[in-house]
Amino acid sequence: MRKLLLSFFITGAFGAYIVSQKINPDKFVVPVSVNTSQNNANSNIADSLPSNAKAPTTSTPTPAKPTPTAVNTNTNTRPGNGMMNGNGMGSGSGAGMMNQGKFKDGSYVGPAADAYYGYIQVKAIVSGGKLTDVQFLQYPNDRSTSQSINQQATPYLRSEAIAAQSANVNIISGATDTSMAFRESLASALAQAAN
Amino acid sequence: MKQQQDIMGMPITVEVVGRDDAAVLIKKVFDYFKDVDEKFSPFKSQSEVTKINNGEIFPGEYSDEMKQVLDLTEKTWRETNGYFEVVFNGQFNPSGLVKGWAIQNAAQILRRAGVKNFYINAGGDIEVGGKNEADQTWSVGIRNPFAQDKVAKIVYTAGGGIATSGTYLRGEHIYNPKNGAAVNEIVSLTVIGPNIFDADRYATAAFAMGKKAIEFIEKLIGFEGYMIDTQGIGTMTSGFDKYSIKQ
Repeated sequence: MRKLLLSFFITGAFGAYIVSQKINPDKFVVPVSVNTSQNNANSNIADSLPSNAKAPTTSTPTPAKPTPTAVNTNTNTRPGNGMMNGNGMGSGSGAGMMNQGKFKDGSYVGPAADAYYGYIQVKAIVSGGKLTDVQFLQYPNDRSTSQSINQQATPYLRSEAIAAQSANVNIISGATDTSMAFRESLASALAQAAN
Repeated sequence: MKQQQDIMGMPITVEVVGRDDAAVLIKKVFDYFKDVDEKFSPFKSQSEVTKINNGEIFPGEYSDEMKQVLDLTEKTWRETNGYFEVVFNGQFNPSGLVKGWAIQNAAQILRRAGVKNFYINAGGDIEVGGKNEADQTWSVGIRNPFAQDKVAKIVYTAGGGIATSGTYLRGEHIYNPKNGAAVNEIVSLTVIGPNIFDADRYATAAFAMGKKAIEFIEKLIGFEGYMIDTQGIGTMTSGFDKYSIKQ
């Protein structure tokens, strides 16, 4: 019975997919649009990007800042992929010409990068010459959550502040593949913003 | 011998210890992953998955491997109370399951060839067997989501699967574009189990449960888990300690 239901589900999916393909036949289109940034105060990613990562110590369970892996436009981008899509499109606002930072003000959309589980696409917002926000336009949804949960503690589970020790191990387990796609999309967005 | 290749859009590392024919064996593993990619990639126009999505082939024409994956998908969907999805935006995409399944099958290629000491790491999901070159139990670091070059926890295992589901850490800047809601509960969930196929599918499904994920893993017999939330707090299942001690 389950199989039957699954078959119907997938068959139905073909139809929906074919229709969506007809409407929007090219997922790979990079919708580069440059707007003057309206988005100033709601984030401070720029503050954390150039500095070293601040991971939690074993004694203080404070929130850590993100790792600054995405700033350089010429790193972590797979060859032959991506960087060119926005060339010539990055004309910032008049104010952008005056700023002291390394990027022109505006918002820049990176290409949808293949994370295998789906596509990742980001929009970088540059204000005052600095990267001030990164928004996800596409995100693979098999690993994201929309569930609301009941946050009650469970006694048999133990918690601790995580460590930030050097990676002196044989193997690393982590969600690297999607991060790569994130960096790729962001690097392309920033390449457009570069002065 | 250790080698790495980019296949299925991710780095795949294979190490085989103490075999003269390691190079040949490792190549077999890489070739297998390439075959899987040709068949199951939703990004290749000639893959079976793409043909299914385009309505070019129908259930009676599916390959045996596709039928097997569909059976496993159905089983996983049932076991995880519907948390494991393979249809996104109306498109069939079993990638979330295929990855662990492929690692598991690749490990079987090595085991059938008599290899005892090895690991296969595909994009951070790992199957290990035996010991490393220094004759020690394999050490596996769980990546610190806040500092990608650091390790949040080290586990030691002589055999089995370790899978980590995660998201980027951008604090409140992570959004789910499907519903616009911030994804702000957990950033990483590692599951250790008897094999990578089961560890990976449970990690993938449980990650979508938010902070309930670790309770779901706690209830599974033979599996342990380590969950990291947005505040940098790690929560472990009751039996996790046995993996924290070097054997």
